[in-house]
Amino acid sequence: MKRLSRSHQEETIPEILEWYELQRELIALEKRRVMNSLLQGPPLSEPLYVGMTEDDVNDFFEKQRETLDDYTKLGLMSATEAAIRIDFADRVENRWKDALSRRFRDVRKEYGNRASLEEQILDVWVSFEAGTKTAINELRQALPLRHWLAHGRYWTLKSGGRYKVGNVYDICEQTLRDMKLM
Amino acid sequence: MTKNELHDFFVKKQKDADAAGKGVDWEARKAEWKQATEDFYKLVSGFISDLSHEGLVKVSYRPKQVVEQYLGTYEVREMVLLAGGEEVVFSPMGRNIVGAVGRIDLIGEMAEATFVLFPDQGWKVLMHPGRKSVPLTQENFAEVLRNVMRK
Repeated sequence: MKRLSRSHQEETIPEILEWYELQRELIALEKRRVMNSLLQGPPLSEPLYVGMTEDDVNDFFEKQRETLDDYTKLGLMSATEAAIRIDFADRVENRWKDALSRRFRDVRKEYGNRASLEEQILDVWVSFEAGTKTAINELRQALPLRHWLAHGRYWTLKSGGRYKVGNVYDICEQTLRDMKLM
Repeated sequence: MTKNELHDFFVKKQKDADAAGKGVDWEARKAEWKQATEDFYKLVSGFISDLSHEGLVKVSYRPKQVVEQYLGTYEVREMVLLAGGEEVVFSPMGRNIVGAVGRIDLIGEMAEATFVLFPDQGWKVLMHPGRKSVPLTQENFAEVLRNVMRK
């Protein structure tokens, strides 16, 4: 079986959270700069902002924050998937002797590198490491949000609104901690 | 955060907001802005005076309330053009505008357009896409008006 060609460019979820907090701060600073200009000058000349009312500025920066939140949620869930898949590859390629790794080798034989996170990898985790069940169930419930974000948000997502960035981070962190990948 | 700390936090926020509004004569700003909307209507009325005289366009006005930070709630007039059974409205959006000192939107049945007042350059039309601004001339005005109306 072909070994996983790793990029070593994956991000950790704390790194993503740190980036997110910096971006939020930058958005807040930029909004303050624009609002200050709107009320007292000096006038801004960036075409992006010229002509905006106070409500427009509020709506514009609210949209920036929503977009940032969406990309961050996607980043967190993608990073979590990457950590789980790297662990899967390590267990298979290094022929670890524990029961979970042995089962993963069977999965790899059957599905190759196309083993599904949801259909195969997470199922095996729950079967062999009962302590991960609660966190993985939570992660599974959040995965439709990840698919929706990753595939261009073109369908109506019923349950996505309830996940804030903090919720997604907590779910990802708990999953990785319970799997001892963090 | 204790109740007292929360109180202090909100007091500081209020002070910051008050300080941001100090040093500006908001009443004078409001008066200038209201006058600017009337001047704009005169300018536009001039552009369409021939059409008005021919009875092709009927001009009327109606009050509009605007609410803005530091300026409070105030009344301006909207200018309404009625042409061939179709109404287009010039609606003042506010004095506190990024990079400018006032904005009036033109709301038609097919689209909207934006006029922005710059301190040293007068009224301009904000073009989309790109938000480039071009001087408000009779020619530009005619084009903008056609764009927002049914063909």
